[in-house]
Amino acid sequence: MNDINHTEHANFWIKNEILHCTYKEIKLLDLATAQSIVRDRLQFQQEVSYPVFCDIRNVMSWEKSARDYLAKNGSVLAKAVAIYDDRYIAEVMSKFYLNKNKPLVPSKLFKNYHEAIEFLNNFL
Amino acid sequence: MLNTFDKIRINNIYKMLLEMSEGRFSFQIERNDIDDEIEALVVLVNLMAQEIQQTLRYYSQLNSPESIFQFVQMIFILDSNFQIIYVNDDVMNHLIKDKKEFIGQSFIKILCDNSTHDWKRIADKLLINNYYQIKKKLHFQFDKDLTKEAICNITSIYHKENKNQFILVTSFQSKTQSQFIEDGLSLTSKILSRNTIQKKEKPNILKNEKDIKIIQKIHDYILQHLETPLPSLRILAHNFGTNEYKLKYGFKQLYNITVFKFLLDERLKKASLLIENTSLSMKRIAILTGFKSMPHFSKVFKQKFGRSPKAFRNMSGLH
Repeated sequence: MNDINHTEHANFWIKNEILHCTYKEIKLLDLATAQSIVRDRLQFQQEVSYPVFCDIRNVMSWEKSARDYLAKNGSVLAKAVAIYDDRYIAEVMSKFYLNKNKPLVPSKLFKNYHEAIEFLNNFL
Repeated sequence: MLNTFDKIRINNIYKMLLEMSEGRFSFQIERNDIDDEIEALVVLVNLMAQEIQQTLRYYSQLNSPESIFQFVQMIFILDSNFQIIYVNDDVMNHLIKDKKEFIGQSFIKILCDNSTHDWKRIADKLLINNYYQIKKKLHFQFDKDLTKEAICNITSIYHKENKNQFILVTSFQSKTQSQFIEDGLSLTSKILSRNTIQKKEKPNILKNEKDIKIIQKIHDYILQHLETPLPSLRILAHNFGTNEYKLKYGFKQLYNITVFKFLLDERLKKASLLIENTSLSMKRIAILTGFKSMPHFSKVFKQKFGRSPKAFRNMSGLH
């Protein structure tokens, strides 16, 4: 496992060719925060595209502008995205995002880590 | 049976839905850490209000150019202790409170918890700089449980003669589409000079749900294939089961931009993101964003961002 890159809003590391991204505690994910996360991710991975495992359990709510931004720019240099969230509210929060915002790369919500990784392994 | 706390939470959902039924979508129910069915409903109602608000604003802008104007919604004047000394009628209308509930109140008290941190940071700067100005989205406490967001312009005003400092907080209606912002000045001036020239009515191409869905699918397809050449409008339309006329004018009607301008804009936005945040070569970025020639890429990039891709990277600090 590579070293963990700690940034203001998220931690990034690469494990088995999958980029892991864990959001830190964010009460309201606004556009500026979303932009900062995408910027940090791109700087971390440089020119390499990865399948992305994205743990958003610490995000309490997100603004529409942030969702729109992530759906489009969150997929730059990402082969696929597995959103990991085992909360009850994930059912509406993430599914709403996936249905309404339609991310540009294959994206799916998972409540189980291993299933998420299995999904991403298809895009290695 | 619901306990008292859950009854309050359900009541908040009722309140929010009633606000929405009267056409007010800028409220949000304050969230808490509980992870249960009621909280999931709260999340969903909040998400829906955000989406409807933006959609309605978007369509009103498309159909009525006058509504592009930004209207002042709320005005607060604060003294140097950040106590409210004046509010306009719009404040009362929007936050549905009485004037006397505001006057003399500390400004931070009418903000939600998630905005108090932002406000404290701004307040520090306001005190140090006499003519400090910043735009920030603040969340106001509408009543005990509903919140209302507004993009605020916060300005510090210093009165030289009596050496008093005042703080002016105004909120504006926000814009939705980036091209409205980019073209803001020219659009506004066009609208202002419209009193003599009446524009021709736009053709109404998208008459049914199916046509709209097709155009949305083409929009998504373009975004997903920025790096590959876009087929001609005729072939593209044919591939999605529509015709060139409907695609050409329907796309413009729905997104207020032509297909090719949209494609170019999105390619350039992606290129700027990669230039700013990666060390990929310009040639590679041009390829990744669908530009066939470097001179063309440099030219259109400079037209949009005012500087060449290389100068743009130098500004970002990544060499």
